[in-house]
Amino acid sequence: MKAHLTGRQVDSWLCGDATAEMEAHARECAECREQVQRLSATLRDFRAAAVEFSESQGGEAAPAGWSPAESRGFRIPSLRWAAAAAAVLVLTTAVPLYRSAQERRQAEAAAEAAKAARADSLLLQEVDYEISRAVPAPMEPLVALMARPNRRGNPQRSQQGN
Amino acid sequence: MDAAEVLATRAGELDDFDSVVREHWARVFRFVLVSLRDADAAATVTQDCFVRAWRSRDRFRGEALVSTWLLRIAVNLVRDHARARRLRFWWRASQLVDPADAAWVADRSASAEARAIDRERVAAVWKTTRWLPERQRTVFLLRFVEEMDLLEIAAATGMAEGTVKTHLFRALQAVRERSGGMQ
Repeated sequence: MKAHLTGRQVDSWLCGDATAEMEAHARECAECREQVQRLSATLRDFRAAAVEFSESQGGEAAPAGWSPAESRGFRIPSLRWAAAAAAVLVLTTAVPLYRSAQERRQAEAAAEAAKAARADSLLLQEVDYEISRAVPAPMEPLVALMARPNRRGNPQRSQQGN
Repeated sequence: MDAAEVLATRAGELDDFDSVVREHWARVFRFVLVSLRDADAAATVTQDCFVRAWRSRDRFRGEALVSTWLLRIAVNLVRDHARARRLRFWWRASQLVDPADAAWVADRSASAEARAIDRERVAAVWKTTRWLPERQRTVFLLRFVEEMDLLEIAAATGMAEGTVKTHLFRALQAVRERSGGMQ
């Protein structure tokens, strides 16, 4: 095997699948050998760092006295927070929306009532006017003619009335 | 010991569940912590993992090692937690712990300069694993932190062995390219 190890071959090696041919090449090629050794060392260091990191975060043992049998079980706080957030969202958006719709309906009802009251009032005025006529409607032009002032400013009078 | 006896022995390990917790807590916590990088979340998810295992212990038939079974539960919980975290609009990535800043490396190098280079490479692995796609990260951590073989990873993740290998190679390629390895 003359050519250097490919990236895929190095990955296979790191996963524990080095072939005899790859191993033979690495024995002869210092560059490839150094690459594999360096990556293997980095991955070992990474594992050691992960173990140390975990221990530094208190992950060596379960909390004292903790038992799964006595645990309350599903306690992922994110879900509790999600439920609380959903409740707040409902209160802050749905309730004002409901109130707004209710107020709009009330305003529309009040406007309808005012319009009906105005129509009733006009109708009553027309009825009052009809009732208060002194003469029947066809004779009204004649009455108006009689009530017109003469040249001296007095209303015209019937000769019989003098 | 025949296959039936192996299964029965494994299943029998759960009879003493306190021992199971003692024996496997550190490993489950470590996997969850390096996946989520949040110590509080890791403690909560680890507790939940053992609670779920306790509740479903009657269904464990010993087809896998107890550790693999527990890590399978942990893998699912980590995935659920990470997804829920992405949906939280107030959550900030800066809340994560960054172990890369204090990456420990073995003191095998001849010089301080060489140790600094080693430290940088480990930090690069931490950073790369943080941004790997979820399945690649899970497979990578199970292989190189928990030192599981491909079949165990397949059992813990529910993936086919070939799929595990594909994800592992992609993760390794990313790590190799970002930690000074060959291209």
